[in-house]
Parts: sequence; structure tokens; C-alpha cells
Amino acid sequence: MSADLASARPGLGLRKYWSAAIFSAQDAFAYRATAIVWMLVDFIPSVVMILVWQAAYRTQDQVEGYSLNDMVTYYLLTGIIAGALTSHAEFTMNWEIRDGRLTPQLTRPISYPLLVMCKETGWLVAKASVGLPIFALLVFLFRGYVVVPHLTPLGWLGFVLAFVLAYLILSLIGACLGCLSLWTIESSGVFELWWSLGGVLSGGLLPLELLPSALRQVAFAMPHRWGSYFPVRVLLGKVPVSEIYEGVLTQLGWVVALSLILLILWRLGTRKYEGWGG
Amino acid sequence: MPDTPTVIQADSLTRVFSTYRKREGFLGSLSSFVRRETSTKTAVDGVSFRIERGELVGFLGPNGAGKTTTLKLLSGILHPTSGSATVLGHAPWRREADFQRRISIVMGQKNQLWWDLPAMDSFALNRDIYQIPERDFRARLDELTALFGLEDLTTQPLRKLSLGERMKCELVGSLLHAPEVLFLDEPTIGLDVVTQKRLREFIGAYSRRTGVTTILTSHYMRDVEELCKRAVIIDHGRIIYDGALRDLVQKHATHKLIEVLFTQTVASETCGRFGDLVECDGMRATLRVARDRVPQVAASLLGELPVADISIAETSAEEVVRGLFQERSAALPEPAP
Repeated sequence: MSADLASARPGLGLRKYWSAAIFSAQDAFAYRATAIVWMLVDFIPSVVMILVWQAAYRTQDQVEGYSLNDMVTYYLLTGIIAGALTSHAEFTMNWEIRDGRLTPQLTRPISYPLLVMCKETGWLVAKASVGLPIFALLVFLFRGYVVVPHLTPLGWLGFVLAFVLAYLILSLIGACLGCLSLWTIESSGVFELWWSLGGVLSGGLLPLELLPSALRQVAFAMPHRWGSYFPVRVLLGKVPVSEIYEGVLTQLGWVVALSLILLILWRLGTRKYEGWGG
Repeated sequence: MPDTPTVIQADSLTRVFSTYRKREGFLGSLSSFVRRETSTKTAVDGVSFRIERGELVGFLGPNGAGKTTTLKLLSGILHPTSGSATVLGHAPWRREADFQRRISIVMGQKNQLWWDLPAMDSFALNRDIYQIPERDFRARLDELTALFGLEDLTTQPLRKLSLGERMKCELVGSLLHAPEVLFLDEPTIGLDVVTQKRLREFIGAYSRRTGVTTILTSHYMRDVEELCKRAVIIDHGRIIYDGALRDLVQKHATHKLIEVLFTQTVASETCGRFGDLVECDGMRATLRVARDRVPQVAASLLGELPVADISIAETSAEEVVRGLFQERSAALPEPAP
């Protein structure tokens, strides 16, 4: 029962967010099939790219410092990590704002964007739990290519920090995008555009080192690369320990900047909100 | 916070919405895609009133009159365009946590509980959102589920409950933190008449027991008649009446109803000579008669027709209010095209 898990909640004013995440995970488990489909959607591009690169590596051993084994491991890790990190708070917010479901939420002593982010986290937990067996199966199928990570304890700690901060960055981006619906009512086109660009700028399509130089510079200026791409590269051993912590600090900077942007968008947007739908 | 008797105060509260206009058809869509025409609508227009602690006030009005917008302004959902309001000493739209913990809103057309989970899980989430001590939570939950007869239903997924059961769960969820001010926006909408009546009984019983200050919006006159001593009638964003429903009837009812029972059949044409015939089946007739002519008409009926029984009643509040809206609609200018 939910009440059992929710009773293990943390103290202070964070209890409500913990409970929201727990109940959301339960809700997501009620829709296991949907969670499996979403996870498959996250893995399909990775598998396709592995097959494409297997053909490309027939004529060469290295591409920009990546061996075929690095490349296969990169895409498998990107599949599971991006799948476990990428929430879509913006679509939930867009739907709830357009449908007027936001209206009663504004009268409760809780931060609505934070509530949505926690609910999405519950979904991510459910999605990751069905994603792990798929990941294990793919690792088994490509076992001849998979590179086992060799990190020092400091490297592992850096990976954990990078993973958590990447999650916060992606969630905050989702919540900021969701706030646009307070102005535009229907913003899913903007979201699609953002995430389509994100597919390239976050290293989902190709490792960023392989992008043309102009595009690479754009990617390096955007927050996308601090999502799944950074922890994946840490796990692959492509980032020296000192640079891991520099990266973690940069991620922290993005978290602060995005939190401020979210605060401003939310304050301005809810002033304009008209509570559509009765 | 001082325990002042005035809990809700609105002064010249106004809210203007801007909307897009689109001409009909495909070409209209295309032209509005290129160039959008906007117009404004004043949903609440300089509304002022006070509500004392423990009052249960009904807001009546047709669709689009401004009832729900007023409620949204008072509960902090919307910012006003102009004017001011305080609820429990707070400006609602500042959305301070101390204010939000002391109010609650139930919207008949909006689910706040989790659709796929049992209501019990949503209640537990509310416990954490409102930081309700476990002992208080359990005691209130037991009391409210017993009052609403929901003991066996809170562990079933919400989607499996009927509309009436869901609305009761919504009410329980909104009362767990023992709010001092309760906003009920069309809580009986869409319910069958039996469930509407039961819900009204629950709201009345809860209100009497706790003394919670309540604003109820409805376009069902019955809700307001049964629950509220005071009614605020809103039309086109303005208050057109604020007071007791009984006083409204006495002040605005221009007619009374005379019901007559005959000892033998009387033709409807004959009855029609004495007043406006509401209904007539030969043995029974109901006539609508101007208030000042009632004694004279009653005497004529008794003298000229074979009357077995006669009774005189006030026009129903619903009819009075309907008449009020019709008068205002006729008096208002046609909207610009």
C-alpha cells in the first residue's frame, strides 16, 4: 500500500513532494504497458544507431577517439540514462493548464511546478525499473562490444552527482517549457521543436565531438549536453576526474539559472493565467 | 490573526478577460492565424460585499454571470484587474501558505483527487500538503467518511466510483485540513436530484457542526434555498441583489398563486377570467394574480364558482429570480456585433 511507503517520507516541508513522487510511481505501475512502450521508444534510436555504426566501422577502427566498442556502449548507456532522466513535465503542465486542472492546484500550499516535477520522477522510477531488464537484454546481445566502466571511487561519486544534477536540469527545462502554456495555452509544437533540437544537441543522435564545428559550438552553449550526455561520458571514462568536478559545478550553475528562470516564468505566468475551462 | 467577524471583504473587485475572436469557417481560421482580433470581457464588474464568520452565502446567477470568477478571485486563483479583497486578512492572490492552509475550494467540474488511485491515497497526499498531524487526520477522516457514508469506497480507485461518490470524496479531501473558509463552486452540477439533495444535507450538517464560512455558487435555486440564509445574485458581473431570499421574494414578487379545488368540473375559459391560468384540469386550477388584486379575486372565485378549497401561495424564489434576470436582459443593450 502507498501509505506504507509514504510513511517513510522525509521531514520538513518536503514530505508532500516525497509523497507525490511515491503516489505517482504507484500510478505509473498501474500503467506498466505504457511505461514499457516509453522505455522502448527511448531504446529504439540507440539500437538503430548501433547498427548504423557497426556498418561504418567496417572501414575504420576509430572515429574522433571512439572505437566501435566505445560507440556501442555509448548508445546503450544513452538509451538507459536518457530514458531514466528525461521527464516530460512540460506536456503534463500543458495538458493541465489547457484543461483548467491547474485551477484548484493554485489554492493549495504547494509549488505546482515542483509537484509536477515530483510526479514525473515517480514515472521515471517506474520507467527505469522496466528499462533495466531491456538494458540487460541489450547488453547481453551486444556483449562482445560492451566496455565495462573502470572508474575510481572519486569518479563514481562524480558520476552520481552528474546523474542527479542532469536529472534536475532536464526536469527544470521541462517545467520552464511547461510555463509557456500559461501564455500560449497550447505549446506542444514548441516542446517538439525543443526536444527535436535536443536530440542533436544532447548527444542523443551522435556524440557531440562528431558534430560539425559550428553546431558543436551551439551544443556547448546550450544546457542539453549537461543532461544525459555528461554522465554517459563520465561512465565511459572519457572525462578526467578533475574535469568531472568542473562539469558538476557547471551543472550546478545551470540548476541555479534554470530555477530562477522557472520562478520568474511561474510568477509572471500565473498573474496572466485566466483559469480556463469553468 | 485577529478574530474579526468579517472574514471576506471585496471592494470594487473587477476582472477583465481578453479573448481572441475568430470568424467562422476555414477562411476565418486562416485570417485569424495571420492576424488575431482581440476583445475584452468584464467578467466581474466592481463587486463589493462582506461576509461574516460562519455565514453560508449562496451566489446565484446564470452561466457566465461572474459567480465562478468571483470565487476564483477570492480563493487566489486569479489576480484582479482592479479593486481589492481580503480573505482571513490576506490578499488571496498573494497565495501565502498560511492563507492557503486555511481555505479550501471544491469545483464541481474539476477533479482534484488522483483518478487512478483510491481516494485514500489522495487523502494521504493532502495530509502531507496541509501538514495535518496524523491523529487529527485519522479523527477527521473517520468523522467525514462516516458523515458521507464513504467507509467502504475510499480504497477503490476513484475512476470506479459514481459521479456522486466522487463528489463526496472531493468534499472529504477538501475538508481534511479543517478549513476556515470553504468555496464550493457548483458542487451539485451533473448529479441526479436524489444525490443533489443528499449532498446538500451533508454540506448543511457540516456547516452547522463546524461553523465554517462558506460561499456556494450554483445555478440550482434549490441549493441556495435549502442551505443559505443569504443570497448574492450576480448578473453580467454585477451584484443585483444581496440579502435574504425570503426578502427578495417579498420585495420583487409582483404576483401570488391562487390554487382552487372545485366540487364540480369548471371550464378553463371560466377560470381564465379571474387571472393568468397556470394550469387547469377541470377539478383543480392554479391562477397567477397580481398581489394587490388577490383578496378581490379570491372573493370572486368563492362567490361565483363551486369552490371546495382555496389556498394562496407566494411565487417561488426561482420564478422571482428568473423574472429578475429576464427584466435585466431586456433592459440591457444588445452587444456590439
